[in-house]
Amino acid sequence: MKSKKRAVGGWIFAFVFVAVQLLYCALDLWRKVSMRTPPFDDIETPIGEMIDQVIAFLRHFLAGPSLVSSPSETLVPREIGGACLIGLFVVAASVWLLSRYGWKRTYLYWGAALALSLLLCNIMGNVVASRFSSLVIFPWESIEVARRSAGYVLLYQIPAWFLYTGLRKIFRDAGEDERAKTE
Amino acid sequence: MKKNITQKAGWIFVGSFAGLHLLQGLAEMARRQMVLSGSAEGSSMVYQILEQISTFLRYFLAGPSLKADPLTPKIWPRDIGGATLIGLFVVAVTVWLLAHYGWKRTYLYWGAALALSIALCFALDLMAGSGISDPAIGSKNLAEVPLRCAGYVIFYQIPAWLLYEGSRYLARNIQKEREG
Repeated sequence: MKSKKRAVGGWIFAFVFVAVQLLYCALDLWRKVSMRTPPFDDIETPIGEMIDQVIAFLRHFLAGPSLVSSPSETLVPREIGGACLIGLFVVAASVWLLSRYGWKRTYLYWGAALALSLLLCNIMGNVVASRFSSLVIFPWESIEVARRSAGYVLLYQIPAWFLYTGLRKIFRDAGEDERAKTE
Repeated sequence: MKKNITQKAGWIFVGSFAGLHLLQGLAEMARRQMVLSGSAEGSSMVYQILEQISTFLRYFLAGPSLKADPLTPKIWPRDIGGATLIGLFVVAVTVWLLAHYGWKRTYLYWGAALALSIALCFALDLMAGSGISDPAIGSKNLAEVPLRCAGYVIFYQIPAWLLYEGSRYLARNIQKEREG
């Protein structure tokens, strides 16, 4: 029973990751449609402002600001903004997945989570664009955050592996020390 | 064979760290020289690539400056900048180095990496001359990024040590429980 629960844990993680991406995508598409189609005042309402706040938080959490350089000739450091918040979550989740499931299943879960979030956000964007017009939702706009988030997930695999192998060494050394003491 | 790779890994890390700083310094130097010579007008493909490499690496290695902008009456979050991307990397690498090599060699590697990156970027700065420090294209010198990065590396040693000591303590306790 416990091992079955353990196996389900990876899929629950993938599902939660995709659900957060889809929530952001749906809210962002709603806001864009409200802003770019008449009567243009849907975001002025208290619910609109609340949704705006949720979008801002999720965007910063999942993907941070864009790392594309400023088009201006002078690159002032503040123009490229702060880091995304998801980094620590990616490292912690990767260490947890690696220790429980090994590297093959870890990347099965990560792969499924990233592929599904990109695919479903793209489908959602295409459905909205076909209902309104390509001037309301531009091509690739719906997957901008999911794509940037995927980039961060890949980048943060490096510290995750350093931490995982470092921790394994610490635990192995502790075991050997204890064994040497008892002998 | 595996032992040999592990022994070399510390120096590979030093080389990679200093290499990234050198790449950032070279890209920034070339970008500034293109702006000064006028070849950046119209933003050519080469200029855009250099600008993107320099921006990403600067952001990754040293983040934005933490100084508040004195021209704005209010301190908006973006004015005091966000965290660097490198923080988590520093913590993870330090835990890995401490676990594999102990504290003396860990700080030999970190010391070599920081000294090498600052020295290389300082040498680039001297080679380029004072021309590229024109205020119109950014008045900071090329050693700015490795210096700020070194500050972050030192700062992030605190969580790295907490994590390392905490993990060791946890591992020892688990072993004692098993043996006991």
